[in-house]
Amino acid sequence: MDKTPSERSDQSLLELHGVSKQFPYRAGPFRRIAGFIHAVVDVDLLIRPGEIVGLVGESGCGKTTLAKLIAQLEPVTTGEIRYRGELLANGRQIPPAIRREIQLVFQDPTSSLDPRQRVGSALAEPLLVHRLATSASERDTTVHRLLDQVGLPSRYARRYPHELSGGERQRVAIARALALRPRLLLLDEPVASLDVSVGAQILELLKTLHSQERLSYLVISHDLRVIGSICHTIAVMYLGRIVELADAVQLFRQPWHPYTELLLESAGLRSAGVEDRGEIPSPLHPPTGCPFRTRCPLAESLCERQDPELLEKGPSLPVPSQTGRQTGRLVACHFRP
Amino acid sequence: MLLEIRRLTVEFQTAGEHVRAVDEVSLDIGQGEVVGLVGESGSGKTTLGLAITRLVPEPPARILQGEVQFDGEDLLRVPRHELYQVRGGRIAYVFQEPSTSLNPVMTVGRQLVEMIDLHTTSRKAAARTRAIELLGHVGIPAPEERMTSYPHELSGGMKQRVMIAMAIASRPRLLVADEPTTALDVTLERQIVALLKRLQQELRLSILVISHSIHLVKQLADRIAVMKEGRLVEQGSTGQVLTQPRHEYTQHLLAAQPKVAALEGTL
Amino acid sequence: MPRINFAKQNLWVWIGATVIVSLTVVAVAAPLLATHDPDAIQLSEALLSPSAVHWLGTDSLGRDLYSRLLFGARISLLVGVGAVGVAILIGVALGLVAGWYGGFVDSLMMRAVDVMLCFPTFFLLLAIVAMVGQSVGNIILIIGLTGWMGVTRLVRAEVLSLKEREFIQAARVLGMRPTRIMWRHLLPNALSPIVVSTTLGIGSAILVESGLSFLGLGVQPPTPSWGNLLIDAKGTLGVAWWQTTFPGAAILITVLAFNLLGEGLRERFGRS
Repeated sequence: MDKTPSERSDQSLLELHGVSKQFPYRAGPFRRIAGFIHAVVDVDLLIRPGEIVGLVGESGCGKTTLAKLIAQLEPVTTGEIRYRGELLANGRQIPPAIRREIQLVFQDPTSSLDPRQRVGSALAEPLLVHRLATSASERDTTVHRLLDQVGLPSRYARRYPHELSGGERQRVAIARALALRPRLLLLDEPVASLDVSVGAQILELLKTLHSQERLSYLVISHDLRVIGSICHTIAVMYLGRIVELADAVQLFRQPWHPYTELLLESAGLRSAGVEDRGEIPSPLHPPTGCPFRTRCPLAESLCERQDPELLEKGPSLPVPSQTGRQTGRLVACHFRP
Repeated sequence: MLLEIRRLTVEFQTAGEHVRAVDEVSLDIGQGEVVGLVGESGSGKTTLGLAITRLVPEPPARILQGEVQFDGEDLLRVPRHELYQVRGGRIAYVFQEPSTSLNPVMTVGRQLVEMIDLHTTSRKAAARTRAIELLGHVGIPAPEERMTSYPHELSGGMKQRVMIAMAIASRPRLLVADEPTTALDVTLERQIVALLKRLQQELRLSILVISHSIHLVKQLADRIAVMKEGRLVEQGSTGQVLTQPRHEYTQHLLAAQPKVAALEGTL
Repeated sequence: MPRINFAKQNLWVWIGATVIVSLTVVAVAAPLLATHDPDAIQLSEALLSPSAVHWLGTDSLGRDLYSRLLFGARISLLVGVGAVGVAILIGVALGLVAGWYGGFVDSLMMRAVDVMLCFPTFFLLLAIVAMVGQSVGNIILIIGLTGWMGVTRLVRAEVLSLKEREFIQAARVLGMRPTRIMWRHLLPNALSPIVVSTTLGIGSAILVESGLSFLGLGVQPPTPSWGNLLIDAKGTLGVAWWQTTFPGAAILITVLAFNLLGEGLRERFGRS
């Protein structure tokens, strides 16, 4: 939020090209493959150094799956993921150097920490595994520095997760992700399981850390307010596809895609009286053509036949975008803007 | 005044400790009024909602004191059999997780009919007709076909609509909705809110909406009550509480809502 | 950690634990507690009923039953713990690997388990003992090698459920290798069912050993084992009641104690 445009270069940190992920769906007494769940469909995305990108969408939109693909927890079905230009191999082996630079903070801090491991040990472990601090005292110093960075007292190193509150656990999870000095931090619903006031503190912490370290964030959330409070660029997802990608200011002030409008109104951020004609279809049986057409007030026969591509349709507002340069706005709709 | 809660206190005993989940709470709900109860986790709002009809398990809970005046009777002191008639009958509940509130091995139709039978005296055919009518009323398409569906065949939003249908089957005076949309997507929440508003007007229903989401309560409630650690710290009309909060905690709660920088002009 | 509250179930846990601890002490201190040399044959003292000199009577060779019982406790415990140790080692290792890697490896191991389970264990034991000989070491190994299947399934099930938990995924993202994850994160969180299984398994192993020894295919006399003490008892069934009663009671109480402890622990862990 506070990086000047010159600090953000145009080289990309992370690039996704045509990334898709399908899961086979097994049913029946013999567990035969009955169909495929298209969790992520043909996603292109760019994250620049220092940028905070938000991924917003509702159930089944694929945002969490996308995070797992980037974190290399799951292999992509098709498409490429490049980190700093290098293609990330799809198998198990990811070079430790890259592994260190892409880290993930999970949604539920209670289950993302090993209940039988003390905080200090959990923070020191990544250092041990990557041989980043060779002596025990070096590790100790680092552990205390990490705790300090996330606003926790040093004595917490001796505690177990269940002795901490939800917010404190999330701080530990963030500290652990920072232990390896990553460049890209993936945050999956970072405040969804926390009370609002605790969540606010975590968001503040994330903002502070962003300016302290050279970090990029990919923030995933179903909550537009959370996304809007911290992100520079926002991608809206629906049924596995990105339907709109724009600078935060542009997105909130002048949304293009009908689904974005619906989301904004549902979140109370816009009062346009948008019509909603249905519910999210199941990812097992997505509608033909445009995935949003079953609910879209603009839908016509074209929408049934052709799935609109995500296209750059140029900036629209005279208001300069947050990054200070011309960002093309992308939208996947036949009729918008 | 439909419901008058006076100095209700509920205590929990766990492992030698006594905790007051609800501490001397007084709250009124008028006829046809929607009251929103907001608070964070541990505020006692859910316990309060359950305590109204003595749904809190005793033990480990104990209702220490208080009155709940509903239709001229103190619900905390009426005999059990009367309480069973009130619960689900004149005071209905809708909870957060529709997946676990519906019986997975019974069709939707059967569960609805069972509900109708329990609280009204109608013959089987009439109950079935009413069930179909209710499903349509809550916005479920092709209600007659849906009667033979099992819960797992329904989407989350539809299940919640079915729960609402079951709740209004007995034409209750008060609906207690505890986190009714927390498990739902925000666009679905919008639909459920519209449904509740419509039903509230058509049936002249009073609603007690319990939630941690100020956004939800803002859309539905005429009045808001804020709870913190068992105590009611502020009450007032929705507009007033949200724009001119008097209590420090309310101010803190409102300030903690994430602010969309792009809309605030703070870049 | 679960709080200790003295509910009814815990009573059995304490009883079981006390018996086991006492038994261990007795077994260890056997030489100090014995009144006679357990192997000393004294035909003139054969088949004497319990008295002040021979507290539990004598067998048909005049050996003191009490002393033999004490030394038999050593064997029973040794075999019980040893065999279960072997079974746990194999079972945990296989269960971890099968659960973690899944796919072909998992299928292969589970089929191996299924095949092993097809054999009636006892007859398998008899056959193997007949082939390799009856040393105590062999007995321990064989009982262990025929008893690891249940543990494998248990551990595999735990791993399958833990694998999807976020802290395990976090470990993967942090770059930990599977071996480390298994040893430092999966195993400690899967301990509860393993402990229960171990406890119950010891009781079971003791029973198996007693059975084998009774049939003459386990621990060889003159080394006393509760099972082979019953061999002599069989011949003198009507005449010398003490020969059946005391070893039998010892086996009963011991196995019961392990079962009580195991079941009690299972309840305790289940609640935490």
